[in-house]
Amino acid sequence: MKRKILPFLLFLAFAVLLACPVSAAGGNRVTDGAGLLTQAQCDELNRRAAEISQKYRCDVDIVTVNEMDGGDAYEAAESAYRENGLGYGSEKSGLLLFLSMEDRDYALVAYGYGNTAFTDHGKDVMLDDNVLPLLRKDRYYEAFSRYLDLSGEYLETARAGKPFDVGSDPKRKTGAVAAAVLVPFGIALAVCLILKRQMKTAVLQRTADRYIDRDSMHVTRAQDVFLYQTVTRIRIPEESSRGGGTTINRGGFSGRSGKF
Amino acid sequence: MAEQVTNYQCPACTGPLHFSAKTGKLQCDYCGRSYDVAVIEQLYADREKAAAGTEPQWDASAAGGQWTEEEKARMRTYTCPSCGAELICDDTTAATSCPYCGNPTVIPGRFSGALKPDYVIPFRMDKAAATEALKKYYRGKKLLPKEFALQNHIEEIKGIYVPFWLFDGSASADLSFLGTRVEMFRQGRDQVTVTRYFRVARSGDISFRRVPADASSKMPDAHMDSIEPFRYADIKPFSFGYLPGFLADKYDVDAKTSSRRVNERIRASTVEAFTATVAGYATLTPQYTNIRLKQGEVKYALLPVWLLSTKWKGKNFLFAMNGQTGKLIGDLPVSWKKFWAYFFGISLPLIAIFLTIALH
Repeated sequence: MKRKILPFLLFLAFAVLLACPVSAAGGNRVTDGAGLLTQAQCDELNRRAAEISQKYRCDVDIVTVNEMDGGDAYEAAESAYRENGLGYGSEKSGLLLFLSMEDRDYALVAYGYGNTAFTDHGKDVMLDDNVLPLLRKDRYYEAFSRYLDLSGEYLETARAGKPFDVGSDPKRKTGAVAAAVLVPFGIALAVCLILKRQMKTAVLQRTADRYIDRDSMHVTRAQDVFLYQTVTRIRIPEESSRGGGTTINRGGFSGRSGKF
Repeated sequence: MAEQVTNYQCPACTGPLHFSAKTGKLQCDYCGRSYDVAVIEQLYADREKAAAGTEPQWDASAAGGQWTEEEKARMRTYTCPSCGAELICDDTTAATSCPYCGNPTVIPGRFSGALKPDYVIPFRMDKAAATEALKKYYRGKKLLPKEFALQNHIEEIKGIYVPFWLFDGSASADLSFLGTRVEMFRQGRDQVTVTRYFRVARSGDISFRRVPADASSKMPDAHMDSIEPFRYADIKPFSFGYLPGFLADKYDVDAKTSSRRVNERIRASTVEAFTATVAGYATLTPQYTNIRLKQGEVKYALLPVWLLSTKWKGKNFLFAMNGQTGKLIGDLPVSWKKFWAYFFGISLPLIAIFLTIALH
């Protein structure tokens, strides 16, 4: 019995050592190929990611690499997702944050149920307001930790039936509520001021239009002389406001990529 | 580069313009714009010509006539000790209260002096029509305090001939504007805006006929302005035949004083009329305006007005109706209780609806 246990323990020790830096296969959620994390950090993130995956039946993964095999980060993330067999269950549901350190590329892609839980707007908020600012400062552990926290939150709201999207963004909600209060006040005030104006009908006349002698007006000079011209150019900003929902490509993925 | 210094100013930024021998144009040192010499010279020539204009001299000498002794004998006067109004009427009419302030004691006196009106427009609306119009006027007003309409004595409405000066005159205008035409298009990823600037100049003449100004200091100008217009087609040379049954006010504001407001009105209308001939510009900024009013004739006329003066919570309210056309005006008190009731009555249900939509 003892002889059989020793090799197994050795295998386990190896497996733990290898789990973080090398492979995401076999249930590891964090694959730090670029070596951005300490072992302890990696273990901690892995444990939390696994918890989320189990709880919501949707994998939340992190893959970092030193360099890509060419192509862009989005394609690299898609192939990492497929080749490493990421994703939960038969639908292969999941979300992957992919970093390539050579040119500081990032990609965030979702698949399966991940497309439902992580909307375009949700991903934008996650990246622009939370993860990317930390990545830019090289605070990788905090960035990944924030990524996992938000993923958990998004999955929770999605499970309640309303994925985090344009309409559920608290900032936008506050604006909508403010408008719902202010607009009626504005309408009511306008109506009341019109009613009040009806009460004051004695007003001084500023003009004498109605006393113009008919046909008495003669225009003796009408000149329109061109003086000069100015030209201004404004760069049109890229379309950024979306109506909500998730844009899924032909391969079944949704997401975006860029540099950090 | 030879340059000749002139003291012309740039029409766009008022910086000094220099003649550039190289381009043959006048160039602004500050904004860099350049102009044809002829354009700037024309602009300055216009200004000089326009600066020669003067204030008009209204000829009031022909306004009004003299009463004959026989006519004087038929006239009565009443003075209101409360507001100082001086009213005249023929010997068949008796004044019982002051139409301006509602004071019930008016003092009869001897008729003296004053001009005889040139014209009169007879009343066409009778008292019944006037009271009916006032009742109707109250009805549509949502913010009117309920007690107000009940407590005032609509039947005390009085017909009065109000003295007016009628001014004939004409105006010459020289106007110039900076006009812009804006063209916007997309070029590649850029939004391109091309703004073309033009100097727009208009000159011309226009005449005005019988612009009215009330000649009674007791009568608020806003009230008389607001019951305009009177239809001059019905105007008649003054005759005693139109007086019985009505009071007439004696003018106590001379034509010169009244003409100030008439001048302003003619000036504003002239500017509007000539500005209206400019079309096709996105923006039009007046740069230079000169209106010269020309001497005109003034006539003295009595115009028919139904008046009701009433007090409410210590404040005077005066309603006036054009005795010829029936147009009725007058400021009414506002019930703030009703104002806020409407405000919240409209806003709160709307908020409830809007919030329901916003939160779902």
